[in-house]
Amino acid sequence: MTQQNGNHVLRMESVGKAYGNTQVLRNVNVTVSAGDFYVVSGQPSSGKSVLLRLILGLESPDSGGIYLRGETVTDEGPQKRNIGYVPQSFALFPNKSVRDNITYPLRLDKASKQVIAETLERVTELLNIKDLLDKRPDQLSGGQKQRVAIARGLAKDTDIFVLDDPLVGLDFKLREKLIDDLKKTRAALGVTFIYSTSDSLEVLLLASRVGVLSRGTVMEEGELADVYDEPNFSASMETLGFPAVNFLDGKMTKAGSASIVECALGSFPMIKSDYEGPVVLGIRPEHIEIQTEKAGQNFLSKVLFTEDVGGSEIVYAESNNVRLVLVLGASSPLLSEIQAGEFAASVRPEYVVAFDPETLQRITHGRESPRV
Amino acid sequence: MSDVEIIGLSKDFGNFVAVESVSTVFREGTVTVLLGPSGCGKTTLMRMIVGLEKPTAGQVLIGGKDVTRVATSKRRIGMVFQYPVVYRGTSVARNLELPLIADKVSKAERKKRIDEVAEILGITDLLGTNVDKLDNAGRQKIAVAREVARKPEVLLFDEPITNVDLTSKLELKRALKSVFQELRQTIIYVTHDQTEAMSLADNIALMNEGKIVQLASPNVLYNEPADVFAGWFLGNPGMNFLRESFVIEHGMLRSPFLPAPLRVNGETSGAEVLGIRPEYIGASPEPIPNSIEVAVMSKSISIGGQALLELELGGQQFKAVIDHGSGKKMRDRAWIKMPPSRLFLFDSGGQAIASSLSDE
Repeated sequence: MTQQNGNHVLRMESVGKAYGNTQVLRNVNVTVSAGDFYVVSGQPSSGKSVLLRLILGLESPDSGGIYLRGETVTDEGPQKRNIGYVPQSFALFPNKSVRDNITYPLRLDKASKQVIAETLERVTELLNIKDLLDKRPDQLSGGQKQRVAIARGLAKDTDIFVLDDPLVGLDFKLREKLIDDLKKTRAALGVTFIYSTSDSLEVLLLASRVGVLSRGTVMEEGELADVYDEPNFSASMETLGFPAVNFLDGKMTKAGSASIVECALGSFPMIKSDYEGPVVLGIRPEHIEIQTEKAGQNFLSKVLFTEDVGGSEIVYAESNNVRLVLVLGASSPLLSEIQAGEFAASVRPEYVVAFDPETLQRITHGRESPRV
Repeated sequence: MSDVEIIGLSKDFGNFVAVESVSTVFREGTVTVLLGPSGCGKTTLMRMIVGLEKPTAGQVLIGGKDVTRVATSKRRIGMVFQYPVVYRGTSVARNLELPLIADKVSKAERKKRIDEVAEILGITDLLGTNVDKLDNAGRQKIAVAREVARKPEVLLFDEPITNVDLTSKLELKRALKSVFQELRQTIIYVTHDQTEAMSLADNIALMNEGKIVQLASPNVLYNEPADVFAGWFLGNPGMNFLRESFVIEHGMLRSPFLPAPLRVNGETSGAEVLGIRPEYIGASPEPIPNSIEVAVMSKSISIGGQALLELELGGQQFKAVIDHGSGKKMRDRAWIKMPPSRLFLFDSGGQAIASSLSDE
């Protein structure tokens, strides 16, 4: 999971931060490498903005160390850190043109005319706002304003940028465009992005690496695909899942060379663990399979609602008083199975992950079953 | 219940044309969703139907009667807004009954209607509850129930789910769906959310820049887009458009994106853009027969764990959505296939061309 130290542009070690009696962050460890699109993923008010402010030097930690480009910066202010910043709630100067809004930070830094012109050209090209330069903010749509705010944050001659949930509240299709543009912009500039969001789909579409912020700490970090496939905490599975991952209560017991979990969907053989007692089971929507025949391991489900998200169908169902979410391809032949309102479904045991309800830590997962 | 017909309806705000000569019919007993990005004119169009906005030109007809100059209160229209409108400090039942009393509905009929709508919306247990005790989503349900029980000629919904928290959204959508299905009222529903539109609509009127681009069932809109905007707006992510990517000669289309020429059935002239949805592009991590080799620029995870690939050929970038397992095996090259039946042709102005493609 951890990479070689050589190209880490940012490290946070055992960082803690409290406001009064409220411990917002504790024992936070973060490693970001050059060229990462690093996404801090967490629920609203999980401390994401505080974490980013600590990175920027807008706040100082109560404990721990922060290392930037190989140097200790724990007690340094923002000036010394030289990080670009796109804040969550952007305020454009209403009486200034788009051009002046974007170049303002550069002029504040006393950049040369040439640097200002080059930077302006580059960021406005990348964000597709070249034809807006002479407009004032009140002449722009919401999406255009967001682009200008992002451009202003990126108009800085540096290698690390922090973006605090910049797409929150935007229309879905606007977001789709900006997600593409942000990825291309990072790659074109060859820089590192540290980005926060509470939106699962945004994490999945943007991140090269992800840090899962929950219960005031970064529970887990790693390559996006690795954390998606092998989450070590239920919080990781939850935040990296769209549609929302199914979590069910279960009970685990030892049985000979295996463990067994019982839950509303039946019992599943698990890879042996010494743990016995209550567990939380995580099952991804894409791993609940609709069956055309009612066989022994299948459970009956009632359709509550279906949603066409364009290319995929999300099915909300209920089985033994437990709510379930499934997902199907929009042209899946199995869609006809759910039209009747009731269907049989199954889950392969290897896709059932058991977590400790107290620590949220992964205990074990189901045993691989033979594929037919 | 009645058809709503609009004829040449326009609205200018100074130099800005919000709605430009729109003519269409919203059929009796159907749900039509006005869908489009912010600023497309959908809210202005709806406000003109209600009578809250005076058209610059054109007419609004409800049940064949011209109501263009009729006051909102006389149009027999029900409305549900973004924020729930309820009578504070009174019970749910009273909230539903007050407008019916004003409409001079008999006591027996009032009870019948209230019971029916409460049953469909699942609020029978709440009838005695004070609305102040309900959350935003609960109050919005009451606002819906009240308007539905009045049985107006037309019911308009203006983004009724937007301001409800995420967990209650689904419940409210379910409730709306049951009301729409059970009562078959004439409904015009405004939203910018394609999922909401696809899930609730009988027909979607897709709007862009003050015009209705296409009015069709969700299925037809998705599978037979009238122009590039419709292809892009519906879909997650939207349709790919490949420009300067083919030639058509003697009814055959040749392209570096295709291993063999395809026959163009129908119109051939003016075709400049080739469109295909990301989920219909097959992509393999290893060479396969009759495929085209392309570069993989990046990959990410999409809905339901599917892999979303950013691909490139000849300087053109496009997307493909494939299964999770194949996505994991993908390195920097991919071998793609585009099924002819999933390809669309558009002209230089982005309008769909009436033709289909097939193997020779």
